[in-house]
Amino acid sequence: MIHSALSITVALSLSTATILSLLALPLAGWIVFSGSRTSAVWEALLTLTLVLPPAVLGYLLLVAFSPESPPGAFLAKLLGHPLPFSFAGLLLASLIYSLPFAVGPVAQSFRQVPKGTLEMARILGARPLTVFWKVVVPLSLPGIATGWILGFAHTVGEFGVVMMVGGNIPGETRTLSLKAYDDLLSADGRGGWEAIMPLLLFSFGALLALNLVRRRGASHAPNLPRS
Amino acid sequence: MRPISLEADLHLPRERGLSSGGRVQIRLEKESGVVGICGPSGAGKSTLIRILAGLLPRGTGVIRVDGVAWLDSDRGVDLAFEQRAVSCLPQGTGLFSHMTVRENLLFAHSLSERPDKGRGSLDWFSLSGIFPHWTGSRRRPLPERLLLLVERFGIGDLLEKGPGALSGGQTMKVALVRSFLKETRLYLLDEPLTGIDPEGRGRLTQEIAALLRERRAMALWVTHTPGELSPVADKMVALPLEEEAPGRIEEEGPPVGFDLPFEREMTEWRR
Repeated sequence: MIHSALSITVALSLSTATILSLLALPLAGWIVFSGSRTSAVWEALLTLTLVLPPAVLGYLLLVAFSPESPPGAFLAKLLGHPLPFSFAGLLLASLIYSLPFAVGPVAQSFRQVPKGTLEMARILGARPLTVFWKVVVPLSLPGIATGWILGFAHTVGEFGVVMMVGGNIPGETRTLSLKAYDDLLSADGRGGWEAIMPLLLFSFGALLALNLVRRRGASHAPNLPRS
Repeated sequence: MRPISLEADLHLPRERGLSSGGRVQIRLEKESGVVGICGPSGAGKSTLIRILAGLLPRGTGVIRVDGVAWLDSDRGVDLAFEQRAVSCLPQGTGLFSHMTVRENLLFAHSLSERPDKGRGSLDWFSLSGIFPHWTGSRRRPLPERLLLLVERFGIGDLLEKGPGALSGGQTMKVALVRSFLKETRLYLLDEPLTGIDPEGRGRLTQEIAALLRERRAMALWVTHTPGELSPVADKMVALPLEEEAPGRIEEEGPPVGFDLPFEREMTEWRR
């Protein structure tokens, strides 16, 4: 049983973190560089899930994913099954829930690229897409890696949203955190460690990876000429 | 080759810490050479360079180069940097810290050789930009034109270094090579000797002047020490701070607008 919860958690977290990292590049790029007056509004919307209680967000997503709602009906038709209580629903909910954790560090890294560096790329003749891909993205790799790690770690530890949207179905949508909860509520309460230990290891590994990325990022900070 | 002409009548914007505003008039027609621009901090030297390059969109007035209007605020003309035939080395220019010196130069060279079409081509999307060491771009040989400039500025031994391992002077030399990759007839150089050791300044100044002569190009060269430009500058001007007395940069007539504390350097220059 622990194996299925572990594999579901790993598959969910890896997929969420990787998809979010890919989505974060254009999203953060638009927020930071578009100069659009509405970018502040969009940034607030993207980070809304940071302040909403997870159970409330889970409920809202459950309603939105339900086949009775237009988006839920559309997605159910596309996938061939309703989203709630399925791995696909769990993944979509995780993507929405963890979005700010992936986009935030990337946007922060983009903002730290010196304006002079961007200007120099333009002076040399690079167009915006080239500047973005060959200058901004490479200089922001530590932020992109941080976003991936945070997206992964946050998905491993999420509870309220996966409970509401996934329904805690063993072998299908039961993640490690849900298994730990179930085991702790069981008659003897001792089985919880089976799920708690991997969660502790994932958390420690994520924090360790974050520190390593931060150190590497500091040693690769953009250089301005020394006078 | 016909001379290059530059005419400008500009009102510099007031910018906190950058420029105190004021009017600048420029009228130059030269085959090649160096025109020095000096003045106290806040006089608008860097702002002038940036407006001429089209990097600062807040300039008002007129700029004409070879009769082509780059800026004419009354007629709503304001060409972007990409549309102006100019190379610019702004103050405090850094190298791309994720690239070695070789990669910095190759990147600049590829852009100078082939205009970047951005979305129109897939050139912008390549893994070599993000992971150069995976794609072998760190070992690519330098093209002939680039190699000549590298030898000329004496940076051949820096090619495999990262920008973090360079001194300020070495960084500036690489930045100069990068700027001179673009072959044009007008160069805007904002304190290009920053960080260069005192012994190397004279040699580098002569090297830049020789390159300008070969290309029949003109440079507007911002400096805080006018004396060091004396061997190569045909004209030197100090931008004044007073709005009533516009800074004039003209081909004919004596240099105007010199104020303290530049008197000492100017005396040295005239001698």
